[in-house]
This record gives sequence, structure tokens and C-alpha cells, in this order.
Amino acid sequence: MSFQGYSGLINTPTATLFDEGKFYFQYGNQVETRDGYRNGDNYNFGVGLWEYVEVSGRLAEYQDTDGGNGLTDLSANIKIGIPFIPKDWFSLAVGMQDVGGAANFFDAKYAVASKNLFEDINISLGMGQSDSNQGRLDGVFAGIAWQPYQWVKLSAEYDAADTQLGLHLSSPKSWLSSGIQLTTDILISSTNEELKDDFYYGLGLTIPLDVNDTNNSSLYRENNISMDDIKPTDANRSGVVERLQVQELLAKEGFESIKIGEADQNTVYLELENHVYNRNQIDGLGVVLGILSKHIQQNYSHFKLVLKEREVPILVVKGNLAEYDGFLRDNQPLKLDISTDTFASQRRDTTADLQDSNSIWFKPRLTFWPGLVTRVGTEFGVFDASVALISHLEVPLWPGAAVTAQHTKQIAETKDFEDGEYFADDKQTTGLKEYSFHQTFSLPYSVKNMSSVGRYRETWDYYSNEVRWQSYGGSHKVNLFAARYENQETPEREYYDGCNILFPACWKEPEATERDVVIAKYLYYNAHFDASAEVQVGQYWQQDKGVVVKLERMFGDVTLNLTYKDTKVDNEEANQFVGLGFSIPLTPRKDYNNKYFQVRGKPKWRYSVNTLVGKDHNRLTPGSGDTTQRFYNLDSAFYNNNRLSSAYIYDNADRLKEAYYHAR
Amino acid sequence: MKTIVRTALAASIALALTACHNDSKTTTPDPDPIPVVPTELDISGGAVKGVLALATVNVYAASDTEKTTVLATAQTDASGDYTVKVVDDTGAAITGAFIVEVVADTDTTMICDATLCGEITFGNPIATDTLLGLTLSTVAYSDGSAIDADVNSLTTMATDSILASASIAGSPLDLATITAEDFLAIQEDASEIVGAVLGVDLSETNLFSLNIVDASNTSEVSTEDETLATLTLINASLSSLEVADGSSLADEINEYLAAVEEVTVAILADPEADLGSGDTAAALATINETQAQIADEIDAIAAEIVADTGIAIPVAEVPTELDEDALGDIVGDIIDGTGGTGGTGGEG
Repeated sequence: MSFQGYSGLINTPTATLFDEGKFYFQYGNQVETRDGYRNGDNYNFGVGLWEYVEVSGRLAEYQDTDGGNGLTDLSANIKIGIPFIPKDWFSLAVGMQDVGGAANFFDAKYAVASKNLFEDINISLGMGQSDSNQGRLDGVFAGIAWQPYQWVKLSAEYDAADTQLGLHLSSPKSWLSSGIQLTTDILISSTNEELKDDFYYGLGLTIPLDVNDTNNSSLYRENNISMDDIKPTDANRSGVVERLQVQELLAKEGFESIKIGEADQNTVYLELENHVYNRNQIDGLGVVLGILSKHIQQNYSHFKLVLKEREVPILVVKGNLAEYDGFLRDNQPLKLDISTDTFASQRRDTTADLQDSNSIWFKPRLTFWPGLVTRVGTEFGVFDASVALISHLEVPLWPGAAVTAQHTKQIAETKDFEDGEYFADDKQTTGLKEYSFHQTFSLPYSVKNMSSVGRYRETWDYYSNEVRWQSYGGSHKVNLFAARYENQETPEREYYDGCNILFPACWKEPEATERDVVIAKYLYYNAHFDASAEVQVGQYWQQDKGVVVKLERMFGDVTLNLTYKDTKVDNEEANQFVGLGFSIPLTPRKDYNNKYFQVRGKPKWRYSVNTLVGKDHNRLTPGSGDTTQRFYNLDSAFYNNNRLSSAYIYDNADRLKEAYYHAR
Repeated sequence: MKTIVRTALAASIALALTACHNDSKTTTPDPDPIPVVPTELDISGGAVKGVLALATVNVYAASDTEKTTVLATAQTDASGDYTVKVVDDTGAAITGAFIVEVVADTDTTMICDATLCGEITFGNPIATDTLLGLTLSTVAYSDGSAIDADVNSLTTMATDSILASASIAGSPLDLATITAEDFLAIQEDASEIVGAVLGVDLSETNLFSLNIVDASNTSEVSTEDETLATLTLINASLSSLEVADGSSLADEINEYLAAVEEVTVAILADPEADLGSGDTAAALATINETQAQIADEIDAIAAEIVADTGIAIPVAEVPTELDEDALGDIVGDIIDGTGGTGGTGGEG
């Protein structure tokens, strides 16, 4: 990673992009201002989204010459590699620096070609157009890097204005677990007067995003022979005995509401709920299928598995037991019939003596996660935050029904979020924020419906209904959400800080006491790119109407997303935002679960930053495109956070194996 | 939901009452009711145009912007000071914002605090007939404790601004429920508006808390605080307004105060309003005409005081015309947030 945030040498890019699926972070002390380079705090972060796409960002704080806090600047870069060029010819990439935003002083566009020579030398030549006052990337630029060992690289570059010499060190991949690497970048010399005056350096981290990377799954078989792989010795076990053994294993594993029987003479029927592998249902599925195929080997040739949530079927998987065993043992291709069209999929006459092991009813499930409200790159500082602990309680009542409640415990905040300070109104406060009753049921054609009623955001009574349809393979999904919110308290009128409140114009519009939220969502999931695109249209919480587009790239259980919002409140100007975010699992692959209650973390914890675009200012304008989505919703509670489909499971087939052998 | 909750609550109360009724066949007579002690609130202060002696003092709730219900009444003494007691027979705490209005009646006298009040010279009493109907006011907030509330022409202008703002249709300013914190804010904001009308920077001043004295009491005029001294002289200078035939000093002062209120109302409704045209043109002309007299008179009064005390008075230069742009700029910043980027995590 260069000091500018994009992949490259010191201040110039090369045609080599960040590795796909890796996150790069660098803290450096070289910042570029309109007046030149200077010592400051520079935070660069980047990621290889795909083999030919990288995005990166920079958060810089320009220290005042007197040492005080200065301005901050948040900017984004994108670089795209050109595919279809043979690797032994050369690489070609085009990129943009400081994309979007209101105050762009470092806009740059460039094209650069790179070629490897003698295995350890890489040369680059590029052409750019730049707004940099230093002339960086404004013309022809070039660089050369010599990497005699994996951990050390020397580079020299001409950035179209100045010449730099740099040293780059990185820890070997084998030093740290999970493929994490430490990096150091040092500017040895420069012809730029300001860069001569100080010692400039960067310290960084490179982190693979998919910590459950299953690319080496072929090794599982060799390295992970478990007791399950050993064939049972008692040759003539009856079907009942086999089913009982499976049921015991599954119950011991922590699965709930287990029912096992016969679908027909050749087919064993199993239905259960997975509340132990909450990070990703595919782990639970892998474990169940593995246990089935290893322990039902004499009386049945096929299986039918129904995964349920609150006794509502969510996934039906059918297949041949021997074929699945071949998939596990011998890397045979996965052959399963997977469907989310689960209406009437449950058997009502399963063998009675094997029913309902590990009941789910009235078992409280507690989920905890950190709530974070932040302000990034404001004139008050690089980063301000209000931190809270959010607790969510869920108690299943009867099929499809549950009550939920959510509590927020304020924990800490930075000074600007404290009472009386600028962001005080947005800080998180302690209290019971939500409680609801939900009823979910299945309909034909892979449609599910959830109706809810309760309290939202402390003072709002609400009722809502959500309908969700998913295509057979799961590549297409449509949600329709409608809700009515009624405030039980009359909110105080608020006024703008620094405004003379005798002027009616200084008072914000009164908050509506009734709000209707109506949103239609369409999501397309592409297994090849391991990514999804979602379009939302409708009327949101602030009663703003418009469209929200979201692109999400998955790296295992980690996702990166890019959001564009364009919404408008009646009689006000429209606001457009771009946002960059990520989600990570904040719970183990296998959660704590006992007979009476469960404690777990959030399987998909999201964080994103958004900035206003298309305006001559970038004032904080929070709240646009707020869908009022609650933690307990159809996507999260019944569809594995949009990861429950044939397409997704086939694309992550290796994880079925990995989960069976490793996740338990 | 609310209905369900209420219904459930009503049902449970009814059941509880029924249960009580069945459980007990005898009733216990209520103990003797505790006698209610009326609560009182003392409001005191001074009425200074020049010193207004024997004027009527009326107190209203601040939310009573039309001043229809007098809560308490009293009279100023010979020094212009007053104390008025508001009583609540229910015993409830007397809190909130109040209007104190001082009206010159048939026996009111005033000391001339300008160099010449018609034919009356500096420091001498003005005849009652020229004062009849002169009305000055102020607003004050009590948390239940006694309060001071001085009344002068400047507090009158500021009070009129506050009441005008609260009277605008759909105004978010609710003087019946206003908090002490917001009340202080509107006092400061009203002061800023008055300052913009007069051409004196009052952006950091709450003129309701200033000790405006009778300028004819020359030794009392501040010799250190320029803002206080200037406002004291402006207050005094209104006594020198030229009185048209058939009019009185009270009429002239009331007309000026009404003109200020009219212009203020227009600018509150539209900070970019063109005051020189339409309905406000006459009011603006009255203000500018008076402003020119004020600008001259404060220098004259300052000279009179210096001649009397031998000590220089720090007086700011007061413009001869109202600056419309400056008045409109008082609205301040209508900005929702600050530069930067918002982030959220852990939602939904």
C-alpha cells in the first residue's frame, strides 16, 4: 500500500492491485495538503474486492503548524485492472483518486502499466491527470521495485514532479495466524523539499477477510478423519436404531426440535432447528448432512431434511446419502436438491417415538452486540463515537410466533457526544427501546409473511407486515415491507444551534406523530462474483421517498458494501449519499446453548460511513433511507441474512465439508 | 395499542375495586382534609423611563400574550420601585414566565431624564397628563422563588419581540411550558434583536439583567460599561422625543415602541423582508426618525452628565438609521450539522 492509499510504491500507483479478499490498513505520517506535504496522521485502508477491482480510502488529519488539531479529510480511491491481458505480457490498470465528495482537492485519474522482469523486478509506467498542487500524477510517472526476498522490497519512483526512494518490509505469511501480515514502509529520500525535512513512514496490517477460507478443503479428508468417518460395525441395525442414533447425535450437537422418521421406504426424513451455528446456517447444514450421511447407511438410500425456524420450515434439502458421503470423502461434486419453497414440506406423521427432542418453546435467546454511532472526519476530530451495549431477547411462543425486546445500555462516548456538546443529541441512551410480538407463516411459492406489533424506538407504537419471496435457486428475492408508527409522546420542537429562536425559521419542522414506512426491495445474488445487488424504493422513516442501491461483496462471513441513497422529503431538496461499510460476525461459529436459555452474539454486525454527495457542502444529514429494519426480521431470522438458497449453498459447498469436520 | 393498554388498565382497576368492595363491608370515613395553604410569588423591580412613580403594575402569565387576565396588581412608589405578589389559592407552586406591565395612569409622574422633555428640563418631574397611557413591560421567569424584574423602554422592546414571536400563527415558541433554559435563550435572542434595531451590539448581552438607571440620577450612570451606559442613555433619550400637536409624550413613545414591534414582527416572519416597502414602510420611517433623535440626544445627555459629575461616560456611537440587513442577519445559522461523515454500526 502506498502512502496515498492505493496499491503502489510510495506516492505512485502500479498496475498490481490489492489481493482479492484482503483488507489493508496503514497508519502513516505523510499527508498531502494544498500547500504541500507535511507531517500528520494519515489512515489508509483498502481492500481487493475482486481480482480486478480494489477500493481504498484515506482519513487524514492535518495538524496545525502550532501542533493543535487541524482539518480532517476523508477520501476514496478506486482502481480497476484490465482483464484478458496475458500475465507474461504486462498488467494494466486505471484508477481514480479522491472520488466524489464536496471538497476534492486531490482528484487524480491515471492509467498505469506494470511488468515483471527477472522475477524480482517490477517496472511501472503511467500517465495521469491530477489536481494535486504538488504536481503528483499530473503527467508521466514511473516506478521500479526490486524484491529480492518475500519480506523486503526497495522502490524508486518519479511521480511526475518528484523522485522518491523507499523501503518496504513485511512479515512472512507464516509468522502470524490466519494469514495476517505486518508491513512497514519507509521513505528513504525525496527530491521534494518538504519530504526531505522529516522522517516519513507507514505501519500497516494486511488481513485476509475470509477467516473460514475453504479453498483448501481438499485437505480436510486427509487431515481430519474423525470417529464419524468410521463405518459402524454392527452390520444389521434396523432403521429405527439408525434414526435413533442420528437423533441422539444431533441432540448432543445442540440442534433443537428434532423429528426423524421415514418419508418413504428408501428415504429418511429429518426436521430440526439450528440455533447453535448462528453465524451462518450453512455450518449447521453441513454438520447435519455430515451426520446423516455417516450414520444412515444401511436402511435408507435417500434423505429429506427440513430446516426450521420457530417451527416454520425454511429450507428443504433432498439427496442421496451415498452421493453426499462421496462428496465428503472423495471430493465428488455436490448433488442436492435444495429449495426454500417449504410450504407444506413438513411431515405430519413422522415416527412418534422420535419426536421433538430439545424443545424450542419458551426458551429465551439473548443476543448481545455493540451499538456504535460515530462521526468521522468532522471539524471536531478524526473520529467521535457513542458506544452502547445492545441486548436483544427473543422468546418463541408457538409455531412462527415470538416476542422480542431490545435494550440499550449506554457505555461510553467521546467528548463531542457528551451532554451539551455538538453531537449530544445523537448519542445513545440507556433504556428499553423495542418490544414486539411477531407471527410468521409460510405461503406457497416460496413466500413467507411476518406480521409484527409492538413498540419501536422507545415511544413509537407500531404494526407492520413484511412479505418475502425468493426464486427457486435463490438468486432473486423480493421483500415488501409496510409499517405504521404512532408516537405516544409529543416530541419537543427542536431548533438549530446558533440560530435566534424567536425566528420561526430557526425551528425544525415538527416531528410527525404518525409515520408510514413502505418499502419494496429487490435483491439479486450472483454466486460467481459472490456478491449481491439490492435496490430499495419507497418511503422511509424520515418520510423521505426515493431509492437506495446497495452492492455487497461477501468474503465468507465478512461482507463489504457500497451504498448509494437518493431520497427526498416532500418540499425539501433531495439528498444523495454514498456509503462504504462492512459487516462481520460477532459470534463464534458455534454458540453457547443450554437447555434453558441461549447467549449469543450478532451473526452480521454492520458498520458503515456515509457522506453527502452532489452538494457544495458535506454537512451531516443523518437519517436518510432509514428502513426501520429491526434485528428480528424475515431476512435475518428466517433466511440466514439472505444466505439461504441453493445458489449460495452450492457456491459455498466446501464450507459444508469444512463445517462438518472443523466447526463442531 | 394505547386503547388496549387503557382498556386493560381500566379492567384491572375495576376488578381491584370490585375486590375491595367485596372484601370489606364497612367503609372508613375520610380523615379531615388538610387545609390548602395558598402559595405566593413576589415580583419586584423598578420602573425606569425616567423614574415612573405611582404607576400601575400588572402581572400576566407570559402565555397570555393579549394580556387578558391580570394575575396581580400593584403600584410603583415614589422611587419607581414596586413589589407585587402573585397568589395561587390552590397551593400549587407558582412557576413559569410572567409579563410585568407598568402603565402610567392619572396620578403617575416621571422624572425627565433627557436634556429637555418638552418644556421640562433634566431631572425635573413631568406632568401627569403627558404620561397617561405610557406602557412599559418586561418578562421574567420564576422557578417558584421571588424574582426581580426591572421595567424600561428596552425591556419593553425585547418583551414585545418575544410576545410577537409567540403570537405568530403556528409558532413553536410556547411561553406556557417554556423551560428556564429556553427562557434565558429567548431573553438573549430578544436582546440581540433590540440591539440590531438600535444599532448596538447586544449579541453577548441579556438586557433584561442590566441595571438601567434613571439618567437624571447622574452619579448612577455607569462610567465603565459602555454597553450599559449607552443603553441607559438610549432609554433616557426617548423622553426628548418631539411631541406633535394633539399628541403627548406617552403617545410618541408608545408609537415608537409599536413601530419597533411592527418591524420586528415582519423580520421574524421573513428575515429578508423589505422593510422599506409595504405595510412596514411607515413603521420604518418612524423608527428612523426616532433613531436620529436618539443618536443626537444620547450625546447631549452624556454631556449633561459629564457636566454634572465631571466623569466621562463611555458611549457607543449609535447609527441614525436602522440597518435592515443587520436586523435580518440576526436570524443566525440554519445549519443542521457540521462538515464530515456520519457512521452507524450495530443497527438492525
